[in-house]
Amino acid sequence: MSNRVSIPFSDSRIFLRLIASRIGQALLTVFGVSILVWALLPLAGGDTAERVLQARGVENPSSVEIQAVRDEFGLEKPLVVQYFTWLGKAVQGDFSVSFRSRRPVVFEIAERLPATVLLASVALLMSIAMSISAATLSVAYYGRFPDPVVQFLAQASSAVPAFMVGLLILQFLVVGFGFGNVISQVSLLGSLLPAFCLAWALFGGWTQVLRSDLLSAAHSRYALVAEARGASRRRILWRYALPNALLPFLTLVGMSLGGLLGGAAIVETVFSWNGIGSYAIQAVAARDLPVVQAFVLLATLVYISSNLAVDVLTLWLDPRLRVAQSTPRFI
Amino acid sequence: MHSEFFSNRSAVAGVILAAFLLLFITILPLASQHEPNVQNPARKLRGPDSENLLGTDQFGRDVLTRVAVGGRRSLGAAVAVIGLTLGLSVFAGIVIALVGGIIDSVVSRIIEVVLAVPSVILALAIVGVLGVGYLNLLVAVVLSFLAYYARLARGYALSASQRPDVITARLAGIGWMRITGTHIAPDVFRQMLIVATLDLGGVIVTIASLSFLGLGAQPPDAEWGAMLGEARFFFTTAPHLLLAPSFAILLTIISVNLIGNRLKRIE
Repeated sequence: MSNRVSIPFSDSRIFLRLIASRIGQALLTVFGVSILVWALLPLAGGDTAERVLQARGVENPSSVEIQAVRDEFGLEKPLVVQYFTWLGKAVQGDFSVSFRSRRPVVFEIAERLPATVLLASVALLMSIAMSISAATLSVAYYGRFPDPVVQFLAQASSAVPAFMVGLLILQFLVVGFGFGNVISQVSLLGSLLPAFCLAWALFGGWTQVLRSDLLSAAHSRYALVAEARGASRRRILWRYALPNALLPFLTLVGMSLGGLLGGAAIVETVFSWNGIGSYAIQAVAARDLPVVQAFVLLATLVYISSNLAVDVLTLWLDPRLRVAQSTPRFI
Repeated sequence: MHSEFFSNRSAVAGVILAAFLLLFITILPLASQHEPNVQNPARKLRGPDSENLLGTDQFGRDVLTRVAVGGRRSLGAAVAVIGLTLGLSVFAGIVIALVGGIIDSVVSRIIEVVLAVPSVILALAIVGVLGVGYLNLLVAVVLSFLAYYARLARGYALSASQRPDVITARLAGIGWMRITGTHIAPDVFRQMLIVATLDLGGVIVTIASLSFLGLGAQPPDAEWGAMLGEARFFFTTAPHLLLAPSFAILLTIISVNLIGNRLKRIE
């Protein structure tokens, strides 16, 4: 009557195999997404060449101009050839030129990327700090004073959209009290207000998940055992419950990173922050598709790679995952 | 189920709030003496007074009337988007789950790929393809939610197809079409409806955010997000323009969240 499962491979070999399969899946997904992103241009319908010229401000293009653009973008070749030509260039960072500015998309993005990276990193740190402290506080004082406040704030976060928080901040803090600027300077100090808006959008969901994981960890059997052995409530919370609850939290953080760029698009526009988000919004409004394509691909790569990184990190941190996932094959 | 739903105070509050908002957007434009799009250059950017209870905007239009008319557009759009997403995904989910085989694996692969694109980014990309406009924005939001919903519905349909009542019905010789119609589809729909209610707030925020950025409703049409988007250029001189649409969005989301959370709890 032994329920024990034998594990034929050593732990580290299973670990490496799982990581390799994750990387393989991620590469397949990237390939699929590249088809989707490339397809945005032909899907837009109509005559692509005419739209390129329209976006450049040419109202009634001559047939010579149209032919020139067709040659420039290879629009007369079969779609499969167009895709692989596009992919080959995209892999080298060549996303063709912006319809509007006629400058290479990669330059336009590279100029604005540091501003967005700064904003997103500050927002990420803020939101991690805010939700971990709010959730631990809420569980430490479960059912008492700060707990209902934390729950209210977490609910409010989902009811007040980021752009409204931005408008409120501009209205009261910036115009009312002269704190910061309406047009943000790209600096660490200048990033605080827009980063708070971004962090606010993530804070509610993260806090709710972490709080409920912390609660169930604090009432788990290992917490009971620790209590029986005389561990204080504080020690149980910080040494036993938090590390266990942080694993699903980590996955959530990884999943939110791609959405962070979408949120950045909104917040950057509110604060006139010259990053790739607000640039992408302008490109969408003008149907400047090469820029949109590059932005979507970038956001998706961030999303896929952060998920991958978090996957590997959780596998490394939590040995249970390595055993549980590899056993069914060998029974 | 009804009495269970209403036995909770916050659920009742949510329903009352929703009823209040619906009354406001249906009745007020009929009762108001102002037209939402008629400009009055003599009364630009006025604060609240006896003639315009919530003041006027940069073209002298009555803010109260525009908030109510904008609410019809915002709420109508959100319900249409979630309804369409729900219908399409329940249908697609059941079909791919029951047909199975190669179709299921191919569609599931495609869904995985689409889900790798964050949903706001996907919506932005679709607006980029279709061009700016309210209808295009709504199509974009439906498409950006569809993959996630279809995957959920597929999962629910799969587990429903293995339930004892379905197996019994199958053994009794009842055809798949009938079993799907009477046992599987209603169950999948009920579960998806709860998910959809919980997401309604998110849909409203997404549509309002993108409209705010100028990618949705176009002037002179009133819409909550678009009103905030226009108002932000005047907020130093006319802060009252921000208040009404903000409160409308806030109350709506609170109301649907209260209702959705209660539905989930009952389930």
